[in-house]
Amino acid sequence: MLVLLIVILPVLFASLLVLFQDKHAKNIALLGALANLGLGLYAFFAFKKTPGCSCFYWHTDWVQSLGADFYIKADGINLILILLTTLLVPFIIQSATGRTIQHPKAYFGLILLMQSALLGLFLAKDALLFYLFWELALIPIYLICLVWGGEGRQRITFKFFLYTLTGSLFMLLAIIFLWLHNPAKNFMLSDFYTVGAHLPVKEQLLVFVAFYLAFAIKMPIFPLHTWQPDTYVNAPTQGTMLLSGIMLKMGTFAVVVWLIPMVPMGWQIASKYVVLLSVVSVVYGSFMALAQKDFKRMLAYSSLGHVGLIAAGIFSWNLQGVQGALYQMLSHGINVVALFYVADIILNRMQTDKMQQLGGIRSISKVFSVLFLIVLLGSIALPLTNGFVGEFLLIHGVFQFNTVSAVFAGLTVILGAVYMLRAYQLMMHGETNTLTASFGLLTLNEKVLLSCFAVLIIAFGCFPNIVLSISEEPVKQLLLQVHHISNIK
Amino acid sequence: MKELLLLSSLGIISLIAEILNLRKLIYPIVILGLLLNIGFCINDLGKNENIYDMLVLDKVSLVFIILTSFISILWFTMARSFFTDETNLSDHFSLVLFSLVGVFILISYKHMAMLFLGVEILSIPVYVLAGSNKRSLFSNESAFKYFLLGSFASGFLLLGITFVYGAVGSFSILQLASSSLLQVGVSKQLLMVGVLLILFAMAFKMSAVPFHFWAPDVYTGAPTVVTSYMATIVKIGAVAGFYRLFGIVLAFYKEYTLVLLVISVLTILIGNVIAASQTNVKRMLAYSSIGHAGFLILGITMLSVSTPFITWYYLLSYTLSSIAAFWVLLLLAPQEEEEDIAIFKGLVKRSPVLAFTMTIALLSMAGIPPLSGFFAKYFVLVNVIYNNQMAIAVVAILASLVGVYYYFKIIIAMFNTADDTGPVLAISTFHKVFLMSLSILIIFIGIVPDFILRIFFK
Repeated sequence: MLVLLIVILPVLFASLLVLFQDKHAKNIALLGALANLGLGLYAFFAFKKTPGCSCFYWHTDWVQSLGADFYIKADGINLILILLTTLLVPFIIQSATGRTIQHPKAYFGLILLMQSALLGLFLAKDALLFYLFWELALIPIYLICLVWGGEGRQRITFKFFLYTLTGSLFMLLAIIFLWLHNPAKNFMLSDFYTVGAHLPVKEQLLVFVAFYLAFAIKMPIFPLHTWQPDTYVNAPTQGTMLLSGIMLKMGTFAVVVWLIPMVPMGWQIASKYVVLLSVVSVVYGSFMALAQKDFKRMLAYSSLGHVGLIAAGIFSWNLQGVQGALYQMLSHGINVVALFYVADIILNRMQTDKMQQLGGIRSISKVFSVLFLIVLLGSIALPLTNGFVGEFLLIHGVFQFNTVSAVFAGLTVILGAVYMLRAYQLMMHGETNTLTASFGLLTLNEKVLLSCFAVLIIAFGCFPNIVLSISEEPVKQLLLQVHHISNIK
Repeated sequence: MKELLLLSSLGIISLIAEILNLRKLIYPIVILGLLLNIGFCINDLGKNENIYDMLVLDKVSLVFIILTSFISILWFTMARSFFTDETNLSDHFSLVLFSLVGVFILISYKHMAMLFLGVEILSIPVYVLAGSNKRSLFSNESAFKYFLLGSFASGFLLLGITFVYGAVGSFSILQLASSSLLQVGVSKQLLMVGVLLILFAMAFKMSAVPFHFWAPDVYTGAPTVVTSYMATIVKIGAVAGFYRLFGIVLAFYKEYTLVLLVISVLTILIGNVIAASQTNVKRMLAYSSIGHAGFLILGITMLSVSTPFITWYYLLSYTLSSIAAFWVLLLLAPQEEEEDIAIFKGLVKRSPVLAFTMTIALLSMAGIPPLSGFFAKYFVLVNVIYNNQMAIAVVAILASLVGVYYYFKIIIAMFNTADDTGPVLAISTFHKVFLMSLSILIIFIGIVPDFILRIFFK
């Protein structure tokens, strides 16, 4: 019942918005998001005490003729993503304070709708339901980018939509294929594990490729990333936060739960190549970030690099890799949303994020420069920040898989430090020029939000075990399941 | 039997209502009659009424008649507001009602003479309706073209029926099944050619490739109200009639599976690809309806136990979305001639309700979950993959991606509020309520697709 409530609550608040005036829209949405955060936190900590509680699953018939059920269930892995989603959405909504937004009711309604879809996706244990939420998450973000985006949004958002839809249609084909091979004729995840594992190797590989297309486009992984930088830059701030903070984790999460355990032999054959592609993503994203002149675009490419490392860790498929990936999903979500908020603060005041034109902001707003620095350090994985835990585990995991890959994957840490610190130097240090002289102090709201991010970054850096302990058992089980099958054959 | 009598008498009542000065009552009477028809059908669901070996009201035909009546109610509700020339109201209504009788016969025939009668009764009123905008040259062209090409199709149909009769010695379609065993010599070839000719005629009526050339011109030229009728209810009749005959043919003569596969794949591809380059919305919807016909034929070609339901659900989903889309188009461009995509520009500002409904309708037609169009395509695809036609499934999916492209051209235009977009549209509450309920219905049957299955097909 609890999990159902978590999924449905945002939709309820979204429909509630209709009743209120425009000026209250943000606050009602925030209230809904905070209530859901409460539920998410409660679920997270209650699960540690009583993982067997019946409140953690909800199972009812949905499309009987197909054998599809409405089956959602919380476990150690998806609760991390639930925590991430419920934690970030209040920040995302609150970050719109002080910005003028046309049609706020529709805007915040769509954000909440998106939240519901994402939560449902993470919790789903039925393939058709998973697919439904997968597509459902696409429509709100598409509309958010289309209506509230910047220059040239029609073309850019459409490219984004077509890309992701193409991928997911191949996933649909694979789901239908597995369903037809399932003697029980249902879409249950546990049954799909058995069905997939018993397919001939060649068919497993085909299913792997079909799923991989969908997930790699969503993350994105080189060379399927071309929709990403433009979309990130062009989307409204909240849209970018949703896309980079939560939505790309749909892909990485799905690889852990829906791809590798489903077709172990497919993974075994393809792992070399997909790890290679992920590492290429890391190197490509980092170098591209190094070459950027705009801060927001630099962040987009840096996100490509970071997510490449997450993917490399998962496809290495060992305890450190997968655990690190799960932890890094959480950390990267927090860091990237905080960074895009920083970009929004700068853009809102300066109307530009060309790093060359800025400079000397430090001498105007000390608080801003300190908070920005903490956020930035989290992103470049300094020890005692959340980024460190994840990236350390990830590189450790990739190292076990292949040393050369690990060396290249390690570049993300070095290059990340280079481009991030360079950006900080260009924008914050140096002489104040005529443009940045008008920067002005942070508002209370901006201070509070950035401080919260800073606290989260340090807290998750110091106490990683809160999160890592919850996912350890289920991850071990999945690893065992896959290695068991690939050893037999 | 009483359903047939009811529909025919509704047409006659509507015709003489003008004389009796009851014009205001036509609409309520028609709606009541159609509701009564649905009631009769639901009441008869268990029975298997056989009308003189000509028509049979089994479960399949009854659920299709329910669908037709339901969509007709929606159509009449929409159309009532858009017949500008009020004096013609009763003529229009009675013509539509008579063609509904044709749909009824096409849904339930078991005798091939009835097939021919059904096609003709369905078509002749539509020829007239297509030309009902007397002063428009395009409307005249549309009617003339449709009539001329339709007559050819009827000729093919009659010739085909004659050949089949010559080979089998009976007009009953059930006879086709039993004579599949004795396939020798001339009669076998005669039979094959005959069925092929019937197939051509039916493909023409469903606007399947390569018999689709009439559709874009006719759809564009005809008044939009009539176009919406052709795109929805006429399509139900044609597809149901096709299924009646070819459900049997496909089961007993495997030779036709390949022919139909080719036709359906070509129809899906050409319909969607050409639609992508259209700028006139009516023309685009015409081509998109060709694409949907392709999916319907594909669903029937992959014959299985669930084919009636798949076809029924696809038709329901497609006609609901079409009615919604045409309704918005009618409200937006009541005068003919200007149906360029540009008229949708900034609609979200001018009328949010219209933009919302249109978005839902187009997303559903594009097959985006959780709208009904998704499951419609899903059911078809499952059967295709079940028959190991993976390549065809991929082609169908790629074609529907092209579909996404052109449906989104309209959606993008609607949400483009960059420049000044024109005045806010004043839409009456009546239209708003109906459009919103249509959207909710499309979402509802998409989220719980087998809610309906449980009512009608169990």
